[in-house]
Amino acid sequence: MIKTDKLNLKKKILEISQLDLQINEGESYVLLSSKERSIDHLINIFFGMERGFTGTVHIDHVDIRFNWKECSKRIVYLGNGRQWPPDMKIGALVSFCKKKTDISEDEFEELYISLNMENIRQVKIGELEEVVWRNILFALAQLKKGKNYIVHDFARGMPLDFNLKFKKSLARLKKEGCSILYLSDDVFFAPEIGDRIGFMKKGKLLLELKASKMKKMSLRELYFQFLAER
Amino acid sequence: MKTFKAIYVMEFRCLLNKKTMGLLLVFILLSLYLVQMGIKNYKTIIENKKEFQDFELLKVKQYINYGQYGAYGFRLLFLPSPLSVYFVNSSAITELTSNVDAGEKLNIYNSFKDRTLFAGKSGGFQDFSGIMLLLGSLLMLYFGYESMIHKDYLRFMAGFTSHRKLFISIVSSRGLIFILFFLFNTGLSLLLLKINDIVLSGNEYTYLVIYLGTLLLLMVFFFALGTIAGSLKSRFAGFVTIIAAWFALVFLVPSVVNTIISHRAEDIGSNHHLELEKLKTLMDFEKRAIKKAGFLNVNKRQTESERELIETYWKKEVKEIQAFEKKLEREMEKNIRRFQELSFLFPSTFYLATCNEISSKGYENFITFFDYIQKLKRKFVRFFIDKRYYSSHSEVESFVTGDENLFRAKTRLPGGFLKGVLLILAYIAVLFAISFVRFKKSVRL
Repeated sequence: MIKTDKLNLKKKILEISQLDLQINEGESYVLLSSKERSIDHLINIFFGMERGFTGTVHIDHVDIRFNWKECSKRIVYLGNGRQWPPDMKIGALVSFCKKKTDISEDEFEELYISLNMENIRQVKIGELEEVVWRNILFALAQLKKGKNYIVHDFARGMPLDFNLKFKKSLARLKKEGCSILYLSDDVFFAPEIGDRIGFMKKGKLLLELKASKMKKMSLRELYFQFLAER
Repeated sequence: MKTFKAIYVMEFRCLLNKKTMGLLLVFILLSLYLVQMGIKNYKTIIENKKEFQDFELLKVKQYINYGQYGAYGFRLLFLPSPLSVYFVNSSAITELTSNVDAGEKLNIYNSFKDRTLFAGKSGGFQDFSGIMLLLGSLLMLYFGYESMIHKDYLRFMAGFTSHRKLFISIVSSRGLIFILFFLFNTGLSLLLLKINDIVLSGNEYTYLVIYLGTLLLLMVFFFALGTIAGSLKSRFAGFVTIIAAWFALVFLVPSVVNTIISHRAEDIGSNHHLELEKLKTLMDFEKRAIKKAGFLNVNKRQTESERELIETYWKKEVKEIQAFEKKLEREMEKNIRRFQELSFLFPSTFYLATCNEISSKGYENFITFFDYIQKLKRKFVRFFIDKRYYSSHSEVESFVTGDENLFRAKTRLPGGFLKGVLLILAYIAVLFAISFVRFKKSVRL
């Protein structure tokens, strides 16, 4: 479970204001924000890299401020960036993840086959197709076996079949009792993956909707009302 | 340990790609080529040594009497240590010869009259130690920078371990790879020395190890600087930083230190002034001698009064002339200390100052050479007086009976070397501390 209570973060301006969130086990929440910086700050808070906030953040009832180590074990992060060493071979990365996680030989073999590692383990990250790379990243992130996912715009710019597969994977994770916080500004993709959708403008959560309700509304209107910077 | 091992393996695998290996191979080949050039240069010096000694003996045979020998004097050759093959033109001295007579003359010079005009000049990067500074520093800056620029990778890894562990693992694994690389490269260069029959003594091996230690400290310093540049938010700013740092430390700082020292050296009395003072002292004696005993007849046997006169020269003027030389030596030594103290403030100049002395062709050895010549000159004057005024030889004998006219320079360390090492270690600690803080900031979004 991911929970924030009256979360405030002030830098030069107020970046996050009175943010109350609760994402239960088996639930996915999409937080849409007009401002990328607010999302970055929120991720930094979840990863113990930003301590100057007020309010509380709990991961599975563990306060992030007082027990970051325990929280970090329970969080899985999926980012959208590609700043990876281009010369690193996939095989080396997968071996590292195997060593650092408690994955069994059977599970590893299954993963090995599903990622088609036999053919790509000698391929460098810089030479991989984006779709293949994201699949690998998603699979490796899951090896950590955390129950709380912080996903940052992971499906942006990806082809439809990837998005479909990704949605299915998120649904499976929810079934397994994971809490998913998806951070984005993509109003059109949000109702497809989230159970609830929050709209944050200038760091303040202005509106919270159920996905079923949101689907009936004009997404275009919602976008201009809450997300477009004016 | 599990984390360290896993990250070490991954970093090793990541770094040992074709691009890096190619780069390192070019670096090795270039440095080995420069060592080979150094070996060739050293062998030429050793071959010239024999020729020099033979010619010196032949010259003595040409003199008709000791008066001529005393006036023309003899020459001394400065021989560098075999370790100088690594520092052909990174040292203060390229080649030295000295000429002393029984009078006031004591010259130390570098002749340009023959092939030496075209020999490599000092102060360049065209030797093993120079290329290590020029390209090694750039290489380390780049790999330090490169270790910190892949922010998403670092963020991903931070999910598996603490920031501190991750930072230490990445930095130490890369550091270890490069330390092994530099050791391997030096090992190959030693092999080259063996192939060329250049034998190093136990003492020289010790100094080679000290040089390697200094080189590695310098490389770690540049690596740490690179990690700071890599952890800047903007990649471009980081890249500009490494280029600026490289240019400043490799070119600008040594040049500024040399300029300061060269300005300070203006306080040292000039050699022309010294020559005049010595000549005046000698002429004072000549005038006194003419007044007392008239003009000297070389064909006549020396009288007791002439012997007394020359003994006064030995006791008074020779000492005065040597005192002038000593004064100059002290002034030069003072400036050398200044140079070393200033050099120790910056890692690149510390490295250059250390190479200068380890090469055996540095300032410390110049002073020892100067000192050696003065002692030898004193012996030569005594030899001249004894032969000229107290014996009746028909043939001129050589003062040099063995290898006295060869000065075998020894590898040395600059004064206060340990202070320099401690300072560079402190710099490295501070840089890594800054780098760690920046690293933590850089993995933030």
